[in-house]
Amino acid sequence: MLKLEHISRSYKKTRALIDFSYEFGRGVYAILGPNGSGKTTLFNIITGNLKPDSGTVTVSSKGSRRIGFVPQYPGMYPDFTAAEMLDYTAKLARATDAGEQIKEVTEAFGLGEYMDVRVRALSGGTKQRLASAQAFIGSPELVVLDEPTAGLDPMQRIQFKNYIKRRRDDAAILISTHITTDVEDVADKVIFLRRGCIVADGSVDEIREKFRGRCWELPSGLNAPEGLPCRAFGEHIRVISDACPALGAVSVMPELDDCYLAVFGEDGAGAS
Amino acid sequence: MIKYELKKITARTAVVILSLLCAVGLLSGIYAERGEKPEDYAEGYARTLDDIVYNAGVNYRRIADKKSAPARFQEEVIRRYGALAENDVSGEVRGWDALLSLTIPFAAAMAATAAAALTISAAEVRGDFLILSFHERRSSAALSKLAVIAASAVVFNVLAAASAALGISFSDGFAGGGLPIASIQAYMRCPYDITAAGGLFLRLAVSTLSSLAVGVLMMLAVFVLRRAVYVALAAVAVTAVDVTLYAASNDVLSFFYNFTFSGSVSDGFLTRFAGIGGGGIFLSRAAVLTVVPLILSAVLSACFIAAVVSYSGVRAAGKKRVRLSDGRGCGRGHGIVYYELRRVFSVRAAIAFAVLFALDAALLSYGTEGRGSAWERAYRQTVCGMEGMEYEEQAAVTEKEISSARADAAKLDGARELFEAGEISGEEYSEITKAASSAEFRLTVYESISEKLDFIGRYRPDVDGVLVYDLGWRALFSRGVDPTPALAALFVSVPYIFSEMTTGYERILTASLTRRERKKFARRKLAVSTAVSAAVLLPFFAAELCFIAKRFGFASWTKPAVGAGLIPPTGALPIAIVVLLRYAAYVLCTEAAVAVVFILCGFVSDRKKK
Repeated sequence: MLKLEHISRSYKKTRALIDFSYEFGRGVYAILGPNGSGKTTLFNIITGNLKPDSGTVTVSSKGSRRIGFVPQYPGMYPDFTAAEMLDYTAKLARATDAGEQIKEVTEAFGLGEYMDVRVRALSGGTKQRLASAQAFIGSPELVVLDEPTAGLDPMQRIQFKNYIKRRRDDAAILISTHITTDVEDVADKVIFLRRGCIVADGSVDEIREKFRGRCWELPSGLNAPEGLPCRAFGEHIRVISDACPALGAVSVMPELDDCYLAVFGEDGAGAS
Repeated sequence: MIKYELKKITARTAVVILSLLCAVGLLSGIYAERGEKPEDYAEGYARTLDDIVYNAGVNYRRIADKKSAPARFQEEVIRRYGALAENDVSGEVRGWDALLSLTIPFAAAMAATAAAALTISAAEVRGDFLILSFHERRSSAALSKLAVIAASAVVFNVLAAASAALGISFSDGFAGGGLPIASIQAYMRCPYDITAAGGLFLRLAVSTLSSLAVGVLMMLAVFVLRRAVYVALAAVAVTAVDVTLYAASNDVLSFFYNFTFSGSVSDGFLTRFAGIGGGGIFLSRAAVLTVVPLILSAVLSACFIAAVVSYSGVRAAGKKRVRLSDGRGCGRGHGIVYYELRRVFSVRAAIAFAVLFALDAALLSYGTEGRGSAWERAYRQTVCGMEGMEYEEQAAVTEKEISSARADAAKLDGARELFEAGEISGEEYSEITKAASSAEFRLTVYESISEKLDFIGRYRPDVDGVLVYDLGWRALFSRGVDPTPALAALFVSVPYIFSEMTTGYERILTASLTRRERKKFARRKLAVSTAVSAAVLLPFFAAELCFIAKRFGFASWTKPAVGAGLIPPTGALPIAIVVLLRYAAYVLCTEAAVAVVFILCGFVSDRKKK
């Protein structure tokens, strides 16, 4: 589907991507990283909206549509209705069964009641869902979604994840997000990106296994030691540390959030 | 804070505005008309002043109420022109006459100030989260904006004048700036005791103050309406009304003549004395054009500060209830061209079209002059009477009629002596006078026809032209290039052409389509844009034809256009074809401009991706 070889890209003195290489097949790939880690730059290079300073991007997509893309701030024609936006996308993609595809994504993303509403009148979350829906019209074999769950409520997030699961065998779906829970149970592979470099990648289980032994849970009442990344976990506190951080701390199997914390720390700068 | 206000006019916008202003000024200066002065100008000036003062005295004595505005006006005339009698106007003034008579650079400076004002306030309203976060210091923010607009008004007007001066210095050079402005023939009747350079300073001051008032008004309008594009459209509409009022009320003491912005960018207040009076006070035009914008700016600035301080965010999308559907209507089967056309037509485009159509109609009504209806009727009757004749026959008839008319006109010579000598009666003398007058009239018609026949004859036998009734055609072809229809077409097609870039949909398209598909997409867009431009321009051209047809009438659509004054090769084509070609050329040129910008933007964005 998609092969990236030695992709590098800089903005003046800032190196956004450094020698990024990866091969994506069918399945769901979650790209995780803090702001400024290079996720959007990567996606813009994949979709052709940005040229890399070096390296090659090879897209092999046999569908009638090259790549389905949802940018970070998706733009659509404000005077079109949602139905017209999807129909127009289907026409551009030369989708043979446009009606069926539109019906499918409308149901999947809960857009039924908004089909006759103009884009300019839609709420932010509904626009985001419409943008995600249009990305799948035309059956592209590569779908790139840049923070597609921004502005969605929990129910809408569940709808989104359910649809992604249904389509995972049809295409390579790349999702960038800060919200690990959005991808934890749908991602086939997770890639942690920090300052333009891959710092960890693998399946969710592989990532969790990698950080086993570094995630500690403190009982309620105990404070986290200073200087160690930590987060609230129900009534407890989870701390990332190579050694037992405090008396009474228990080593636990890390969640993806804990792995994120371990990689990026609390400030996103990088704990390890 | 002023630094940040200036940053809201991005470097790119500033460069565009300044470059256009300099280019407009420079070209205006290079192609400005130069005036000539007769050798006995000084004597003529003294006589003119004398006549003005004498006539004003006569008018003053006729007015019963000496405290009324007309009486005060005549008093001012006598006072001002009497004081100018001692001026020595024999010196040579070069360059200043051309610079003083230019209107376009000052109008461009006013438009540039309006553009800067729109940019600053639109940037604020678009990204208004910052101003909404602060309630204190909003008045400082407002004052900073006002300061930037005031500085812009000064800079743009000075730059426009300087660019024009540069253009003039290339072609003519400057001399005599310190001489009285009346040394320039066009300003013989200037009522102010100022030098040529002083006249320019006065023009700059008036234009700058008016630009400031316009700028503050635009900023206030954007803050109140929250949508810059509606303000821009309203500005075009107001300009149309302003220009029409100025052209229609070109009278001394007319209310509208004195209060239009058009007057503040023209040199009319220097060429003759006018003003407005009431309540025992009379203000000269220069004073009106200075005081009124100053007061207007102050009032509008206060309103603007109040608008900024009380700003509460962009209004909701509308009070219309959003109609929710049951999800039917997906995949209706509309073609891609349908969606392209859907993107073209919007309320905004319709309003722009209506405003510009009204402006064009107003300009049409003042742009066509004739020689008077009686002459035109006689000309039309005569020429239509020759329709069907061959060229040689037309020429022969014309020559015969000219001889006959001259002979009849010549009968008046000597008739007066005969009448005074009593050899002919008063009635006979009156008949001879009438016949001579009629002959003179006939002569003007046939001499005009003869000139046209000479013109046609120059291209025979290559072009088999004949005399046609041409007043309508000449009025049409001499109109030159009217920018208003192009503006309407651009208002409709440019937002459409750039809709992907402005909405951000471009990035989705770049991902979805291959390079070949993107080129096909671009070609389809340009084709739709051309068709839409043609459709938008058609009513303008049709209106032009209708107006001229009503004024003059059209005839002989199938005859060679050389009969309508066009030289070959277009002169060899039937008039109807030339009319169509004119329309087609206009459409293509408008679209070519859009296509060039579209391709350049595509080129720029390709380079930006690198």
